[in-house]
Amino acid sequence: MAEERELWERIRRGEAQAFDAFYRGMGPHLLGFLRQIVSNRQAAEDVMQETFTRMWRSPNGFTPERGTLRAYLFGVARKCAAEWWRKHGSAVGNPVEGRAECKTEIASLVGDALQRLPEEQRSLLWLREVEGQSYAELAQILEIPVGTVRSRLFTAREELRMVWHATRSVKKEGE
Amino acid sequence: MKCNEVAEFISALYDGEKIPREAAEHLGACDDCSGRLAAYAAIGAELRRAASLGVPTDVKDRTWENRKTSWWQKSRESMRIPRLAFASMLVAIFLLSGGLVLVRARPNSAGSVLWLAVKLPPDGKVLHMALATDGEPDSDGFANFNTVPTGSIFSMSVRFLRREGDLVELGVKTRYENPKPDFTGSAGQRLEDIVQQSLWIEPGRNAEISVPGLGSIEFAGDFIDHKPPSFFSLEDTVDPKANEFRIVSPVLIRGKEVVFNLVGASSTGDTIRGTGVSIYWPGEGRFLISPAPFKDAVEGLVVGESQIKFSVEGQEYLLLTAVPVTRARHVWIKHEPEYKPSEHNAGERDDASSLGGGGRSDFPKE
Repeated sequence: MAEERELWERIRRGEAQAFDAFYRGMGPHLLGFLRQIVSNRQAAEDVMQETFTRMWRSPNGFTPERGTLRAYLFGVARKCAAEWWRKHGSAVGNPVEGRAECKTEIASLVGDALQRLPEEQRSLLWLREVEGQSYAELAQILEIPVGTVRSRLFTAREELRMVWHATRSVKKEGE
Repeated sequence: MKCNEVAEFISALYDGEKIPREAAEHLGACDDCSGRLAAYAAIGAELRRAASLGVPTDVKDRTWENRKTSWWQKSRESMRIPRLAFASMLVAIFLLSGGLVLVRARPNSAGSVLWLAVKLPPDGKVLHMALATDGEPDSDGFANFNTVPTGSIFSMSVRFLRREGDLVELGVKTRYENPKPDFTGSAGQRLEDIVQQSLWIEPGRNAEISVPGLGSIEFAGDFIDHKPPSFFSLEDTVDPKANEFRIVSPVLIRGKEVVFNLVGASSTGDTIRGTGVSIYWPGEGRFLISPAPFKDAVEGLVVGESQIKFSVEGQEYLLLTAVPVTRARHVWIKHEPEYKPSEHNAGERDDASSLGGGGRSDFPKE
């Protein structure tokens, strides 16, 4: 926590080297997340770049007392993604294009199942299961109370469980 | 417990949370619930496996350019006249202008007062505040602002927390509501439940905070060597503008008794639109003061530019203010001794003083 605060103090003072380290460390994680919530890889890349640009230009938005830097980053990214959807939502194609990288059948199934969930549920599950974010961090990112995180995670898991089972059943019937 | 009552606890247990004893006992004895837990674990593992295959390991190289210069700083840097020539010109203007005295605080990095300019969306309206950074008490800024669109309200408080060289940390609370609720209250009341955000200000750099519903508000700051005497703008002069009516830090004296002392509070009216200022003090009711005549008001005399003499209910009053009030020689005052804010706006407090711009309905034409 102290390290994070020190890093942020350096970034806030305009040390480009410190921010570049932060970008290189967190960029791949953020890109993986954004691929789940915007329609394609290029859009995810654009939104990620916009997120870091925004943080670099206006570093005062982060308050260490209110949460972690990582959660703040993902929260900003989610807002940037929402803006992207508002601008391009009607013009985009297949929202699961990004899943082409999941080459194995099972990975494809769980990826397809995930893509059938609403954005908030997708975000919650990805951030919890893949990024290992805590309930407090999820609350910070989604701007909801911690108690609500627990109930929404449950709802999201149930949705994914049902969609996944249904997808697998259809797959087996087709074989 | 039944399976549907335990289900949410299974999700929490999978996340490493503790669950109630009854839920844990049920889970140990129920195949369906154990199966649900196993399914969560399996799906989670598959998600992580899929992510391991698809998540990028690197990002594009980027350079991080220097942050943009403050819009406030930019306006100062855009001067094209050589500095010496400009200084000479200022001296000439000063000498030629005779008795005209400009009241302006000079930016000074060694100064102890932070002069803040706050730019509000959507119309770019700029508000100003002066905050002491040397531990002087009562330096916090509180205000309600009517915003665009008409009928919305934005409240903000700014508190000095600490200073490190040229960096100042502020505690900022904001609240925006559209439409404005029936109960407005003072900025302090409106912001009681709002979480304070930390904001670092550095001269020459913009800082932003996001206000839900309103957008990003931009802060720019500079150090000046003293608190400017007017609270409205750094460019304010002692001489009021043609239509300006302003009340700053008013003290009301009745006979030899001080009725109220609202040091630091300020509000403005407009001589053309006929809007004035409303001052409420617990136990004394409300004083309405306008630069134009209005119903049931008595005429008061502006003396010495910053004092108003008037007489109501057989008693002599003298209102002292920190800056000249108006160019006019007369203003109109109405005293409502029985006025209670709570009787007019549900939720307003009767035990808190207030100074604000009165609405047009408060100043009906005769």
